[in-house]
Amino acid sequence: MTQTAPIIAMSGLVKRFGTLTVLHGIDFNIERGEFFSLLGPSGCGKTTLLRILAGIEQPSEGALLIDGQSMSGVPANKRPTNMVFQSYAIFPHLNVEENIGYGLKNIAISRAEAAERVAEAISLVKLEGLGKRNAHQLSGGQRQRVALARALVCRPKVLLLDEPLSALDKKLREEMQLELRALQRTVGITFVFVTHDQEEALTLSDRIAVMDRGHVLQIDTPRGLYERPANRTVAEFIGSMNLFSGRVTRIDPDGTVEIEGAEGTFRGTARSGFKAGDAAVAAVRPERIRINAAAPEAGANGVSARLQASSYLGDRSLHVLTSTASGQQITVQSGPSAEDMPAAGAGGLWLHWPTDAGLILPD
Amino acid sequence: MVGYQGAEGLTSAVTTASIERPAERPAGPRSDPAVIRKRLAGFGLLAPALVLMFMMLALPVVALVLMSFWTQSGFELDRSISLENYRQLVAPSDETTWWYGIPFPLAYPVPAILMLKSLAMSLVATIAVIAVSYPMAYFMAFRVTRHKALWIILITIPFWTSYLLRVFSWKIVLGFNGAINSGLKAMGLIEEPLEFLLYNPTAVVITLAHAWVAFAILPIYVSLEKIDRNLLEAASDLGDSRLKRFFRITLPLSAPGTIAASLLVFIPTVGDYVTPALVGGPGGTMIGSLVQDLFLKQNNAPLGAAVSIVMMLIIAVLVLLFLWAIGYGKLRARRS
Repeated sequence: MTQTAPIIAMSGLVKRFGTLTVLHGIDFNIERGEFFSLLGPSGCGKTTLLRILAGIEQPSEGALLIDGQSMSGVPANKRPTNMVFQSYAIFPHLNVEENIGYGLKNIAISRAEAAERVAEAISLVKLEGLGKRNAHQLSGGQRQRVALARALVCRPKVLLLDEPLSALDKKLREEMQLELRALQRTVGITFVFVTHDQEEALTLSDRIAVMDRGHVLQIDTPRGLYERPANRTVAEFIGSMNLFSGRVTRIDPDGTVEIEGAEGTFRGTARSGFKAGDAAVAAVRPERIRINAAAPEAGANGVSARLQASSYLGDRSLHVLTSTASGQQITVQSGPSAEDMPAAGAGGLWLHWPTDAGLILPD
Repeated sequence: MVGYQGAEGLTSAVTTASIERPAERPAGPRSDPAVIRKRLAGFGLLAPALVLMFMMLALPVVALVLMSFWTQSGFELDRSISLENYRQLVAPSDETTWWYGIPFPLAYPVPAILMLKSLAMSLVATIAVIAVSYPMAYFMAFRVTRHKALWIILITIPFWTSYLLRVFSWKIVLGFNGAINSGLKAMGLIEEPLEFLLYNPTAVVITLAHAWVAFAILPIYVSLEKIDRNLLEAASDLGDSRLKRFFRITLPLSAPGTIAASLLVFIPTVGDYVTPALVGGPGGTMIGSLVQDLFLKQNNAPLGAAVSIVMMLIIAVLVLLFLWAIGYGKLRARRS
C-alpha cells in the first residue's frame, strides 16, 4: 500500500431500509489526511454513509476499502475508524478520564501508557483538571471535547464526525470550528465530517461532497463548489444564487453558452455539454451583480428590475429587486457606502454582470 | 399477617426511592401565598394515600411494636412493658442446636434458624428470578421492535389468576403423581415417582421464583429501555465486542432497575408464609410460617410480634448494607 493511495475508497455503495433506498450507488475516494465533509439537507443519506464507514450499518451493495483493506464483514469494533456522535454518547456512569480511556482497554498497551495517552488527549482538547468530573457535570462544549478526545485517543486512521457542532450555540460553534481545523492539522488524521450547515463545511473542509436524496451531486473544494457548482441544486445549496431559466440558443467554441428566457438573453460559462434547445438556467451570485441606471451594451448580461428593499449590514448592503419582465425576485449584494445604494423605489434600474460571472447550468 | 404487610411497605418505599428523583423545590419565599396554595394542593392530593398508609401501615406497625413488649402466659395477656420476648429470642443455652453445621447455642433456636433459612431461601429465589427475568427484559428492550405493549400484557398474564391457584398449579406440576413425575415415568426414565420435588425448600423456591418473575421484569425492562442506543454503538466503535459491551455498558446502566427488582423480590419473599404452607411441607417452613403459628395456633401474639419486628429490622439492615456495599448512592448520582 503506498502512502498516496486513498484512505477510503467507496464503489457502488447502496443502502436500503426495507423498500426505501437511502443511498443510490456512492462512488468516491477520500484522500489521506484530508478534512472531508459530507454536506446535504437532512435525510440526504450523509449520516447513513458515515455509519457505513464506521461499520454500524452494513451496505446493501457495493464495496468499501479503508486503507486498502476490504471492510466487508468487518464489524465496527475491528475497524480503524472512530466516531464522534451527534449526541456525543458520553457514558453516563464513567467520569471524563474513564470515558476518554474507554477504547484503550481494547488495545494492547500498558496501563501507564494508557494513562499517558489519556492525559495527552485531555490536554489536546483543553479539558485539564476536569478528568474526575462526571458526565452530567459537563457543559455541551465540554461533552463535545470529551467525545472528540475519546475517539482521537485510539489513534484511528479515520475520524468520523456526525454533526458534532450542531448542538452548540453559534459563538461556541464558531470557536470549535477553528479548533477542530487546527486539531486536524495537528494530529494529521483524515477527518470525515457530516454537516447540513454549508458555511461550516466551507470553513472547515479541504473537500466537500454535496449529497441530496441518496446521490452525490458534486465533490469539490469549497472554492470549486461556490464558483463552479455542477448543477442547480448545488448552486442553490451553497451560498445564495440568482437563477434565470431559459433555453440554450447558442454555444460558442470557447465554452460560452447563451440562453434565452423571460428575463432576457444571458451568456455565461458552462461546465456540462449542452445542445441548442436544452432547458438551462443562468446563475449569478448576488455579489457579482452591479446595479446601474443604464441598459448594458448589446450582447452583455442585463436584467431590467425594480428595487423593493435594501438593507444595510455594516460591511455590505443587500438589495432585493424584482425583474420587470416576470416579477422574479433577485438578490444583489453591494458595498456598504451610500453611492452603492440606489435610491429606494427607483424604477427602471438595470442589473449588469460580466459573462465570466454567469454560469449556465442544466435545469 | 401484620409482619408480612410491614415488609411489603418497606419494599414500596425502597422502589419508589429508586425510580423517582428528588423533586425540585418551587422557587419563591415560603410565605408566598401561591407557593402555600401549591403545597396545600399537593398535600390534598397526597391525603388519601397518607390516610390509608397511616391506618394500614403506620398504626399496625406501632401496635405490633407495642404488642412485642407485652407477654403472654397461657390465656393471660400481661400488658406491662417488658423485654421478655426479645430475651427469649436471644437467651443462650448450654445445649447447642446444630443446623447444617451452623451452631445455635440458644434456648429457643427455632426463630433464629428459620430466619437464616428464610433469608437463604429468598436469596436463592431472588437470584433465580433475576437470572430468568433479566434475559426476558433484555429481549423485550432490544429485540422486540413492534407490539411492545402486547409483550408487556403477555407478561402480566400470570396475574390474571389468583396467587393461590398459581401455587396449587405448582403442586400439580411437582406432585407425587404430578406432571413431571408422570411424564418421566411415561418416558421410562424413572420407575418410582421422584419425591424430592414437592414439600421441601426447593419447591418453595421454584414457586416463589415463578410468582415474582413478572414483578422483576418490568423494572429491569425500563432501565434497559432507557439506555441510549448511541452509547452501545459508541462502545462498539471504541472496540468492544458484544459481550464486553454488555458488561461495560449495558449491565452497569441497567443496575438501578436490576437492584430495584431484586429488592422487590427479596424483601417480601423473606416473610412469605402462604407458599411454604402449601408446597413447603415440614422442611420448607419459613419465618413467616412461625409468625403465623405464634399468632394463630400457639396463642402467643406478643412473641409473634417480637419475631416480626426482629425480622423487619434484620431485613432493613441487610438491604441498607447491600445498597451501601454496591455504592448505590453513587450509582444514582451518576445517572443523568
